[in-house]
Amino acid sequence: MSTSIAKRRAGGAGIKWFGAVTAILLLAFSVFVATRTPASTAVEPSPIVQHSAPSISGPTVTGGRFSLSNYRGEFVLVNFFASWCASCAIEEPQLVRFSKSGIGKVLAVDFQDEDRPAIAFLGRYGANWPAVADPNGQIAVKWGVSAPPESFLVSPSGVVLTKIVGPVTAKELAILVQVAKANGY
Amino acid sequence: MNAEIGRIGILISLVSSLAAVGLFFIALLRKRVGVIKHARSFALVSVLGVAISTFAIERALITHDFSIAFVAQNNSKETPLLFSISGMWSALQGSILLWALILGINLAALVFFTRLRKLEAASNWALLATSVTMAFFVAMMFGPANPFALTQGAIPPDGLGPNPLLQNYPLVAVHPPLLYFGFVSITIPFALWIGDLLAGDRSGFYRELARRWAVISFSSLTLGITLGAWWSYQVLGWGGFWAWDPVENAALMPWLFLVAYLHSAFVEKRAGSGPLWSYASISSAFVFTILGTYFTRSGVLQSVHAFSSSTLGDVLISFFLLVCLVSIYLGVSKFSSLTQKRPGPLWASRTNLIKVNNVVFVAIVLIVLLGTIFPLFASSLFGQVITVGAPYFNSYVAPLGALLLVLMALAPVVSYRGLPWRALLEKLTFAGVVASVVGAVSVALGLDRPGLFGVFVLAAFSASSTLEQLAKRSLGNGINPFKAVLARKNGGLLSHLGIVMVAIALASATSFGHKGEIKLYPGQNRNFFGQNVSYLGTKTVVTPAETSLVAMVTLNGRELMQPAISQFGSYTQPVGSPAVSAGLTKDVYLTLDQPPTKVGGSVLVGIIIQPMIDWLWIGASVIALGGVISILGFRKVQTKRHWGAKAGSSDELGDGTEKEGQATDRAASGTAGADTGAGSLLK
Amino acid sequence: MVTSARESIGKVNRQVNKQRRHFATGRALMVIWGGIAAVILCSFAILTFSSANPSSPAGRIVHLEGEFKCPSCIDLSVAESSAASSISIKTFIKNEVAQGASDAQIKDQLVASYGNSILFTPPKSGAYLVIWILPFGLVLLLGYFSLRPILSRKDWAQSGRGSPNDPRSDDEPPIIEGVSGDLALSMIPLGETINHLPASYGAANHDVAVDGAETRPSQSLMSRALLALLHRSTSTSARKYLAIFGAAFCVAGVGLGLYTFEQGRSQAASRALESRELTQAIGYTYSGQDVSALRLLSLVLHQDPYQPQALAYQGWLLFQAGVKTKSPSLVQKGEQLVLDAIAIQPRYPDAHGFLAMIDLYVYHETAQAKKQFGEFLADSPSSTIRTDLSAAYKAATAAITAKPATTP
Repeated sequence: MSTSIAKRRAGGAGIKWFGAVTAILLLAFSVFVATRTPASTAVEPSPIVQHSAPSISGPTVTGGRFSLSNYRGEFVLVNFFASWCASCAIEEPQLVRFSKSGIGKVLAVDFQDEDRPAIAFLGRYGANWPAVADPNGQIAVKWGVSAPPESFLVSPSGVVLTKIVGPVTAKELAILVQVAKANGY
Repeated sequence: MNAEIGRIGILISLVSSLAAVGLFFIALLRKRVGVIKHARSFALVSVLGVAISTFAIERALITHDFSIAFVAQNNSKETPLLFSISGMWSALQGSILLWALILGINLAALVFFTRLRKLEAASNWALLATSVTMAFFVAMMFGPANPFALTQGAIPPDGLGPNPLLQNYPLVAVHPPLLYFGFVSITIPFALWIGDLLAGDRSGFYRELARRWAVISFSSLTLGITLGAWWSYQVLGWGGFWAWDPVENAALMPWLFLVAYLHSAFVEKRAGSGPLWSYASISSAFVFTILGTYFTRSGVLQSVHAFSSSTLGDVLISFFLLVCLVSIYLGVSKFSSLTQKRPGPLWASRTNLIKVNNVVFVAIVLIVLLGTIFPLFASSLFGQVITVGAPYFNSYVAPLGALLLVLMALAPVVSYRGLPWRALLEKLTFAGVVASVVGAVSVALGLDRPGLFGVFVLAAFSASSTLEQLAKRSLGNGINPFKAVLARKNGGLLSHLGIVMVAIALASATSFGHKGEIKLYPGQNRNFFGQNVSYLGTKTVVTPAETSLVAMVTLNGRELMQPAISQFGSYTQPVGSPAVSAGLTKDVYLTLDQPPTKVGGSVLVGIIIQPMIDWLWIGASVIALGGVISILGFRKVQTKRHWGAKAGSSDELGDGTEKEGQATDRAASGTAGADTGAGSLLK
Repeated sequence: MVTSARESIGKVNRQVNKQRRHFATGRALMVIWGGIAAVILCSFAILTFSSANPSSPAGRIVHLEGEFKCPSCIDLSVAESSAASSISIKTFIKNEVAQGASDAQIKDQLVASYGNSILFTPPKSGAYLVIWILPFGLVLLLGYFSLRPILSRKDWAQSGRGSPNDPRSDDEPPIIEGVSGDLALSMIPLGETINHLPASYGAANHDVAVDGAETRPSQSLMSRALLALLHRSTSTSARKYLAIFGAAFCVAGVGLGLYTFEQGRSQAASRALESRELTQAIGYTYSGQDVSALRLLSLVLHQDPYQPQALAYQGWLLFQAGVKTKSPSLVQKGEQLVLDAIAIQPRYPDAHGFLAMIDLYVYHETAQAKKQFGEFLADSPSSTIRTDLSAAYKAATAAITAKPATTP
């Protein structure tokens, strides 16, 4: 901003100081901006992490009922997905692998979706874990979900450990569980 | 082949712009007059080089030459011709080439307009500054943003095609070039000011040329921004047109400075006040174009428009800093010649009002800048991701905008020396009466929002004052009213009318609109705030470039509208295409929010009713038109003296402006610079 | 003729002026403006009195929807967006309002699940107050500094010239200075040679050799200086510079040309393509398509054997294959490649991440792994590589490695 509007007719000293200060401010600004990381990598940590998990309880897509508290005592991956979400399809085989490994349980939440396509979607990958229907996205709001796929790792005692935005991989999940165990969860 | 031609062009351009820089330096510092001619030739050759490169990239895009990586990423065999051409500016590297091309056109024009002033130091300094900028942008293409990098390995049989949003609406072919023209051409007024100051030129030629150039920049930037808003409205499907996105703000800030510059340059010209404001605002405008380019291309701020993050950030911010330092240094070292002691005018004088006006503009810029970069500070200092959204900007910019409406009503009425308060009130009586009537009527009609009431009253005040001035200046003089209204001296007033239209449109469209979603089965129809929407069915339209699912909807039983969801080439993400029924009182905007899941199933149609929104586009066009008229409008309109003029009124201003317009026309055309004289020669 | 016309105009003018002045000083003006002010104030009063009750549920819902940002969009509020997440939040707001929650409660609930990033504008509290207060400060400062000269002025009557009713004040000639008649001299085209120069011109040259902008010589002196310059800078001098620049142009042109074409053929293109193939390979890695990923990575490494990202990812894939097939040599090779990558680019976060996992998997060294995770976290993930995943991963590991706040 070289809008040096300070008119000091009296002498050159004032305006010289003004110019110098402006120049230094601009230099500082440039250095500051140049040393920032790109904005797209900025992710705010989810505020529900390290807190007890919001409840998930309700009808599943297949017509039964399920609650997150059923899995108390085990590591649970709460996975928000939808049949209309393209990258959910990418992560589904990884979830199957994780589920089969027995490290933890998977509880899916079907975000803003209809039951029938969701059943077909899960069936395509041989996913046999419970999927709670969330047609209005009200469970998702409690968990702070922006867009599927988003997953949360919940400790055996029901504390949310991490939030993973985007597709997960079985290996990562295994590592995360190990790290969590090493930290005494 | 295309890659070779293109790279040769860039090479020619780089070397000759560097040569021009060197020769201009020699001419100026070593006082070698003989090299000036060659320096100017080199400058022109650098333009030619960029033109060759542009030809090469366009040829490659049109002939789908996927051996060039840029083409492979931004073009496909199915891309229609129009979007092949516009593919040049649909990604980073090509956009820099477009930038250089437009700068080249401006450089060539500057060479032309100063052709009879070759020997003056000022013209050479100006050309030097422009050539440095040219060399900088060409060097970027030589290094980090080479548009002619080759595709590695096997040449793909088909390319990726442009981003779906960039092949969805033809405006994309017009909006960026106009915006860039406005942006880039600010370089020239800035360079002319540098020349004027460094050479201590006294002829006024360069300042006048800078002013005219800035008017052209202003008009095309206005149109460019408006077309961007229009494009956003027509393509993005949320019914809005301005989101205070960092990149949008980056275009707005130079525009604001340009407006401030045009006003202060006018005061300077007419009232002879010191040009400090002019210099500060034009250099800020240029500095902010560079900053804007940085924001767009570094990925440092989150934006919908940002190009994929590139390595250009550091280079651009360094150039930004360089330009800042140079302009501050010049401003400080030439401070005495930028200020001028003159007896002060009255309080209510145009000089002072325009000063207030400029303060308001600078304040708006600073607030917009603060809001734009605050997320950066927040994430660094507090470690939090926060958003500074539209409500923040609106809550600060709207009151300042209202203040501008008042100033617009006052300033054209008073003279540069000023009026006593009573005379001012007298002159504004008509406007005051209209404003109060509008206020009373709008309340009687059930208006219930204080903010809107304020906008309507002030807009009425401003519009009636402006129209009264326009009528006084042009009508009843026995001249063809058409010619009289479109006279050069009225350009500013016309722009003001455009601003009033924009203000009314903004207030109405954002306050009286209705937005909703309707679920419809085929054959069903429903009413939404007086609009009858009936859904006929869907059809699938397949073209080589895209596959669209089109919902056929009739509006009020007459108009067939076709909101669609399209999928382009290899892009998986579908893109919605809204359908808009435009009208002078309101637009009805339909989107296909949810396609039917089975044959004969229901669709979810989003509907937005936006009153008066077309006046936004009309108003903005009038603003730009006002700019054009102020330099290309009718000139030889003889105005009779108005009687009321005795009290130092604005009626006389018209005449003064007129005479001066003619004098400076000749000066600017350079053919008869005899009267203005060559103030500073090559020393 | 002319004088009489002027006289008559003047007479009319005076009459009109008298009338106007009478009008201006009279009460009419006061009455009219009083009326205008009264009408506007009354309408405003009626408006504020009758304005819609802002706390009606519908009004509150509209207001609240504008306060929150659509979590999956850029720049849009929940009200403006029809993304799935916005629809969820709209439904949430509707339900909460129906259940009688206050605006603050709704806001608190959303902030509790999404964080401050759900707010469309910064909160008006704590450090964020800066951005809300600063504009006022800016406007005041700007106004004070730039308008001070106006505000400190006494009165127009005391200023030297130009009473407000002086019609001359607006007829001042345009401020174009430095008009002179020496243009003929300054307009001599460059190409023309000047044959007959008075001897005195040569002498003048020395006087005006160096000249700042502050001390301006008279016009004629400058014109003479120009002529002298023209005289001195004979065509030989120009030719000399042209020759130098021409030669420089050719040399630079050939050199740079070779350089660009070389670069175009190998590095630049390969860099562009490499990054694309790398990105693709990394995508494959994360979606479990190990074979495709390895094929692409080896392609990249074939072009640049020391590409750290490719090395790290190849190492990671080989390591995993080693674990799967229980082949110690593959595990070792994988680890070595990751270490190579770190050696080449010590601050490459993903490589540290891999090393951390290797430490955990193979050596079960939690401490070592933690250190590597620390390295991984210290360097923010490279923006070119799967930003979403690495950012999420960063957040995830940060959360876990932190000591639990509430011990379960």
